[in-house]
Amino acid sequence: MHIKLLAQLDQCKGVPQYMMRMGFNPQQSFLSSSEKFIMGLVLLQTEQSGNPNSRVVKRIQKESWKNKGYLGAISTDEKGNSYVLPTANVNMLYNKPEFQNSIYKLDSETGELELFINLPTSILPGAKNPFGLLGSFYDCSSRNLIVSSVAGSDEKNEIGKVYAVDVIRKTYKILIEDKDIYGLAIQNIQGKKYLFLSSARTGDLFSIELDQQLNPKGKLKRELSIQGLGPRGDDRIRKIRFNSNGQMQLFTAMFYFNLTAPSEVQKGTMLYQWNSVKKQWFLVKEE
Amino acid sequence: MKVINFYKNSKLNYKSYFIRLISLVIILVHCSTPPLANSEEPNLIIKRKSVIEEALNKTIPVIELMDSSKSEIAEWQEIFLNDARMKEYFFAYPNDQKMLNEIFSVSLARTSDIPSGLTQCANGNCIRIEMYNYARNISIIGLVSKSEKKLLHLASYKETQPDLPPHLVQLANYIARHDTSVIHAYGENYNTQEPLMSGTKTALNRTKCQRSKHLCVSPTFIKGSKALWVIVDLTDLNVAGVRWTDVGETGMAVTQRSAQNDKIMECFCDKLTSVDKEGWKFTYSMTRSDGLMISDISYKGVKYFNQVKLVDWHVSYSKVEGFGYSDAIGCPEFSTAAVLAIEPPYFEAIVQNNDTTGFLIGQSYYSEGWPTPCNYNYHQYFEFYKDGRFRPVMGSIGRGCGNNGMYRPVTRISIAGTNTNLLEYKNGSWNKWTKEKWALQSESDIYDKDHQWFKIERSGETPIAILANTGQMRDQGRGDHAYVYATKRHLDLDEGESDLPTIGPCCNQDYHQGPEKFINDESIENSEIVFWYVAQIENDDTKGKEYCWAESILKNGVYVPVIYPCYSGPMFKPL
Repeated sequence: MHIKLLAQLDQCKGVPQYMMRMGFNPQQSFLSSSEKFIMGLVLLQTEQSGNPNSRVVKRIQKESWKNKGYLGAISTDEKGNSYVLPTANVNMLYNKPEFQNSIYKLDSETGELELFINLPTSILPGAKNPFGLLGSFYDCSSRNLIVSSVAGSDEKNEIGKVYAVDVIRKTYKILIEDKDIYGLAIQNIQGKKYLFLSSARTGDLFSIELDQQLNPKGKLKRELSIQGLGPRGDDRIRKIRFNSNGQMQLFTAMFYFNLTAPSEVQKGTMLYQWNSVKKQWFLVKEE
Repeated sequence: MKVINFYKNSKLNYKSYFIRLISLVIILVHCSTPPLANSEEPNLIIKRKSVIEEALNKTIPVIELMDSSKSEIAEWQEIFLNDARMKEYFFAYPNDQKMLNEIFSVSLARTSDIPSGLTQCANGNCIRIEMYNYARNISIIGLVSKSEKKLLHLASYKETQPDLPPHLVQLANYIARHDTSVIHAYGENYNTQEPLMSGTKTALNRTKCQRSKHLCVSPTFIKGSKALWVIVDLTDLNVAGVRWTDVGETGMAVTQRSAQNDKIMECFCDKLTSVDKEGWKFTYSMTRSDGLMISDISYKGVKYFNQVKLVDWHVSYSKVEGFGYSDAIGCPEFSTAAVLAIEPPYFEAIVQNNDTTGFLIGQSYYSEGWPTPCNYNYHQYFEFYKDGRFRPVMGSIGRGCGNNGMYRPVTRISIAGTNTNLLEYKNGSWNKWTKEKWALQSESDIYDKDHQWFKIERSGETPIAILANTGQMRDQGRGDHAYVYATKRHLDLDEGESDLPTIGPCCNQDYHQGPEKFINDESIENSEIVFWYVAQIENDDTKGKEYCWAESILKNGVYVPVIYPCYSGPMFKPL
């Protein structure tokens, strides 16, 4: 594997049309599903372009962004449509189990958030595991949204799945079965497509080659583990992204399939570099 | 006021470890010198405590590294410790109380230790000093110039620990080998084994005390094909957990969190344990969201209750309308609990006026980060008295998000018996509740005899009184001002018999706490009844009057929680 010739395949985010209509500057605005004390989706405009940590100068929340319960991962396509996953936060009062495996679409034109597709699950999220969909990644080249679900898994049974959802045809297919996956990313490496996936149950990161139709080729390969790293040593990788230097950024969080929500956010970031001589990833930096 | 330690742990079986360890194990075990017998060893814990006390009595509260072979080590430490920038690690804001620190190493700085641009450190001119702050769990690394005799560079790292000096390795081994849980877990000949890897700090050993944020290491004892991991807490000077793993299997390392969670998941989560004690029989298990549940409760052969459990904690804050949380309690993994059981349930004798009047089974719940603001700690216990009285008790140990919080624990009590009636004492007489309904305890209520508020009458059985809690119980509670509800128990409908998801929102100020959902005008005469009890407890942080509150104080140079619990719950008394 040579990471130099890579291209992360979600770099096609279009500008949502509703932003300008709502008086927001797209260069300085972003959607958030994790604002403190706010349930649902919020559009925020910050003082500085490209810096989500700068001072928020404007925020808005449309009615349809509020009534889907707590929301999680957001991926945006080339037209500016965003696909938003549900999550669970503190309790399940506002997130119905039957919608924990549903993808919502925030339409670029109308700015309304509506149910896009409901992915079937044999066991509904419940007392033993309130979670359904966890991670998402929009693959620009195939116009597929790749999502992971842990719906129905418990401490003894790992029945999670990874789906590819064709956002044009509104169809889906299962890529991986019986694996609880959290974060996802697709990379082009020397002309080949690789899906990187992280375990929701351990600190492991895997990869698998995909063909052009997104069918997996071969088996999952374990790339690395973050076990023992970071201040807690037992984080899971919740999000995988690659930067322009070919480095892999891992966003980590404490995750034990429960609804604990400590006031001090238990999250971290790790940066890995591919060593082409040793043919393995090595940790460059952790925060 | 009570100072507590919530981070104690326990032993377990678990799988993990590296295959390479096997050969290392064989070599080290074979070549190691057998340890001295217990009686001949100095009590290192006592010695350690006196070293700590001595350090805290100094102007600069630091245990310095002693190395008599190198006099300059003392001089370099002095330079390091006397730099003005170091003050923030010695004295806590705002009262300048002393925090405990220890120098772990003093060594020649390697090229890789030197930040780019720090040319003064070239050619071996700098000494690297590593210090650990026990109170804040941070490492402080300094570079001291030998020629300039000053501190050139200083950096601190949150939640990290430097490598241990040899005396702390020895202390960790000592604590491990003398702990009763280790002796109990290891069995015979525990003291002929020298622990392995004890010098590897937990971070390198992939082991951490994530919850207590203390300095922990994990001496490991080998027995046949098994390895006993002992998590030693060098801040509290005790064992935080023990756990067996299989030698040779690759897996996750044992940490404080994994040892605690695994114990609950394997032994108590959805696992029924039977109890037969002092005339009482029941089973208990930890649920996914309804706390510790006790079932099939009988006294001297008469069944009292089908099930008793704590389904929700509703917490609201009066300063911001609608702000608060609905917390479920239960298993630490694969659950809908927000506040988690991290230690096993425990039994305790109830002693009143020097007499043992019964026993209780208790369980604590903890959210990561407690007692810092906006984190929670709950406590529930069930009291079983020798005279047949029974009391479910629900307590909050703060600290929550403010000093204007109202806690409302929702308890579901399923009364045994198919031909049951519920009577309320009101206006000087007992009145039967014929239909599902609710009531609110009021300060103007007048109860019968010893606070008898309700009475359960069951065909052919002794009646049971429900005593109102007005603050007369033994737990120093201030009264419950409770909502009570009676609903018909349906065997064909699940109205809370199995794990209940969060039953109501955080912040309703009236009877809409969840159980009212099951009230629909049904008759409850001569039927099976579920009695719901929602206490209302206001917290307080006023000095001297703290209630449902917790804070951290510095004690012996480290932070410890100080708790002011508030307890609630009615008493059931056979008449």
